[in-house]
Amino acid sequence: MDMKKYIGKRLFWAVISLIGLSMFIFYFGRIIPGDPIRMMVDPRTPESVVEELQRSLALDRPIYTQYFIWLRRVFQGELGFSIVTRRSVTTDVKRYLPRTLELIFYASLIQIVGSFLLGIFAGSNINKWQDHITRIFSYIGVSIPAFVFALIFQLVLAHRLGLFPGTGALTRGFPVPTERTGFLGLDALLDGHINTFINFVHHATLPAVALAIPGMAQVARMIRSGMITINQKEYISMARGFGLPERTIRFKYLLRPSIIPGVTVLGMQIAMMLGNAFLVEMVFRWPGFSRHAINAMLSSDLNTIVATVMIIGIMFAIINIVVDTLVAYIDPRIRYSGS
Amino acid sequence: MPEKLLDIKDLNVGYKTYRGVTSVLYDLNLEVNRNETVGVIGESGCGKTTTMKTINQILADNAVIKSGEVNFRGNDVLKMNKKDLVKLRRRYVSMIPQDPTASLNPLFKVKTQMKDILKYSREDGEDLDFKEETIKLFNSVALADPERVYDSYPFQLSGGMRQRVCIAMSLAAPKALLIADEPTTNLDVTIQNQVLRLIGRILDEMNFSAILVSQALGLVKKFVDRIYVFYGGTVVETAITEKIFNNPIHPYTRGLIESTPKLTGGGFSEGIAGQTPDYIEPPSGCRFHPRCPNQSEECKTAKPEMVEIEKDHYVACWRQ
Amino acid sequence: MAEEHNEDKEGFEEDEEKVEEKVEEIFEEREESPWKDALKRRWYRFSRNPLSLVGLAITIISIFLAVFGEYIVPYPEHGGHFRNYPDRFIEPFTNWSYPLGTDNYGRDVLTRTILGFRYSIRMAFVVLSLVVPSGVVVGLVAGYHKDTWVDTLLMRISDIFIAVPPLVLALSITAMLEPEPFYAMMAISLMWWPWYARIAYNNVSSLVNEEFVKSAEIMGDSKLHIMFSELLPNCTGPILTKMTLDAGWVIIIGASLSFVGLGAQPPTPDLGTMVAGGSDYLAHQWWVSIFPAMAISFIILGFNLLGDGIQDAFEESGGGS
Repeated sequence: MDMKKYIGKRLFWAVISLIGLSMFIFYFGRIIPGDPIRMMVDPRTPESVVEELQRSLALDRPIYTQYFIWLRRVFQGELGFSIVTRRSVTTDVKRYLPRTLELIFYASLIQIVGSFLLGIFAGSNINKWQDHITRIFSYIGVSIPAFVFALIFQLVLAHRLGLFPGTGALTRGFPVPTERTGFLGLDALLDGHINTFINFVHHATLPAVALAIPGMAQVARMIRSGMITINQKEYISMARGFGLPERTIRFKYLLRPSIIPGVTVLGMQIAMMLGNAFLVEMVFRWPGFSRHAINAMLSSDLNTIVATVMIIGIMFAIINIVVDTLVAYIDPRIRYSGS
Repeated sequence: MPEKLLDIKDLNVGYKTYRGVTSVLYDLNLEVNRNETVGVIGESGCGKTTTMKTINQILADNAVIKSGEVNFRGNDVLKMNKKDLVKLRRRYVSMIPQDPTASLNPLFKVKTQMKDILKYSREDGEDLDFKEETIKLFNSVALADPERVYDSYPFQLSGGMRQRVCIAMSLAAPKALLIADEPTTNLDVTIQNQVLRLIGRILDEMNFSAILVSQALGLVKKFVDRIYVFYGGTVVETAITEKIFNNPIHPYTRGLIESTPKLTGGGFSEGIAGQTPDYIEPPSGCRFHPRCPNQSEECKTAKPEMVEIEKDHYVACWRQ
Repeated sequence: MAEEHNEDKEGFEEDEEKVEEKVEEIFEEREESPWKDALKRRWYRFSRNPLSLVGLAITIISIFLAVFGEYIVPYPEHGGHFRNYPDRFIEPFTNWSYPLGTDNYGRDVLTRTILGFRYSIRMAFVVLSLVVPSGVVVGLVAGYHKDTWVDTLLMRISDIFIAVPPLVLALSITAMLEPEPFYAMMAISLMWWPWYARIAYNNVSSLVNEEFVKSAEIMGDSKLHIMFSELLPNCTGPILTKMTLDAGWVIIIGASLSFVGLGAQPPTPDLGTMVAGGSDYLAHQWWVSIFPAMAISFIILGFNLLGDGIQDAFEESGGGS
């Protein structure tokens, strides 16, 4: 089976899972106690108006009909009404999601590069000081929750040392770039405002690093342990037996199988990042979708919550497919067995 | 130039395990001369592979070389620096592994692995047409469709094909010593014969020295000049082939030779009673004594010395 | 020498029995029992790395504090509605009565932090006891019936829950229910079990065609018996490892939920809630947030080290032969 078929299969099942997820979250949202209409409107609204609203939102119909109506609306881009911002959820998404995506992108970059460097650094120098330092860092990185890192960074690097800004995405006074793509950083570059771009990155660094550290530590550990395991394999000692240079063995024949467990986990780690973003954005008051979603959750804004779950679900599915494709590229055995 | 190509003297090797450090090789002595083929026979777990891996120093990380010398062309392998060791592996020693499946990197195509081996083993490594040379090698090991094998991943090949690829790898450059570590043991019975014949032909035609480790006594008898019989991590008997098969003296050797079912009649044999020794607390004195029908007090206390029982025939046994 | 052989042939039958006896003896001598030997081996591999022992120690301490915390803290009443404004914001390490300082209500940070262990450990315990048995059973059943409708159905259902990162789903479900530790635990359990189903499934489905399973089937063992006595023990390593590491994850998620405000509510001395409560004062009264945060990290570190040690203990490593 080649790559295309493999990706196709994964896509198919991802869509099925997402549909299942949507059913679950929709149903779950509808069976909780509390009348969504009353929560939206002024308590003095007359009964007839309430009933009218109920009809228009199809709340008087059986649940599976409601689901399909909802689904159709979603495909038309209508995600419902937010009781927090008093406007369409879609508008909120358009406004806040790009900010979160930029943060995640930046954090992923740091995570991927950092974990590989660390993992290989440790794996190539097992039981020497480089290894020990990296392992200590890994344990710390995995054991301290991301939001704690966020707090510590904010306290030490922002408040005490003043090296980085502690909140927000742009310092007041910098020109706001014209909205072309919706992505602040990109728009700033397109405008030619390098300073704005740098300021933006400066703001994003602390939250991105806080997000990246747990995953980076975990993947680095797995790359390291992967290298140890593979080093014991017969085909590596045979490669040595043939007199291949240590350099070639390490960076070609050892590296590739070693990183497989790490890359497999990478997807999971980026997923955790999506979750941690909620807290990190909160701490740094980053104007992203996750922070907005937290507010929605605390106010029981059902539509936003449901939208959040679906959006994150889709992002997660995409990340997983990309990661799985990457793994299949590295390890040909997977392509040929197809699972 | 010393006559002996390989001279192993009083080698002691063990492994670190959860129960302590084992004592696997125990005062092992073995020699290989130029242009001769030496056979090593013995049951599973008696240290044959450990000995072979000590020669080109590819033992596992938990191996402990306690004492001894492994002299190759006069130089002690155990004392060699990295550079000389790499040179040894590229130019002088090659190995056909016991498990071809485990010995090929599953993530790389055969052609990639062959290319690297050719590049570094051959003197003219950089200038070769790798594909051409590889196909040539594959033809010489009787692979039916060399082009297809060339472009495949190891898991796409059968066990017999993988072993032949490994053999081709070991023949990539002319070497002084070829070690074949039970080359047919892990293969399907139906393929064993083919590979056996192939190895036999290689041993016949090529003029290098070789060590053939095998449980296939028929193969050993046919192609090998001298035999070492291993038991419990040491050599219990050694002689030229003819003498081992016609006049086995050590009780273990006799058990081995006689437990091979013969096509010429004689019925089934009984095997040798008892179990392989425990390498954590090996039997005292002669390691074979618990299974030996002739054991005496002396056998329990001291390791028997090698004694020349007739010309070119040595046995380590107190009871001869 | 030929004579010796004749002797052997005459005593043929006796020899067989003798050989069996000897073999049994050797077997008994060498291994007290296969169980004990396996345990010895596992302990050796586990304790080889001193960090694993550190992890074990930390975990034991954490559990101890969780269970007995309330009996050993200096100010048990500070765990609830307590106000002592004159003593608010005492700095840590300055006052023997309040070694770690006090918070904005004058409550002893040390006391509240120790009390906090209970909520975290309890969460891990409850969630795992719900999730592991149910997930593993589902995975076993699905794996054993591989490639049938049972397999597809069960695995696809579990895929739904794996479709979203754990924290997100936990946040959402708790938000939709009510911000309370109970709902938080239920939410976490609901989205956690599929991971165990997946592990059990992966382990089992690769074994389903192995010899020992087939021979058990032929001998007429019931499916239940096969699943639990033959297949299950083969998964224990990875499951045990995951359980231990997961304890850490569950605690992180629980703390995250509390931090956001969807878990235990103030004045409950839940570690996450305390970190959130102190975050407003982070700039100048850092200790109110930092010590509970360190406590969380401490617990999780313990589980991580322990989990790694368990993984080492069950790993079939290479070695000589």
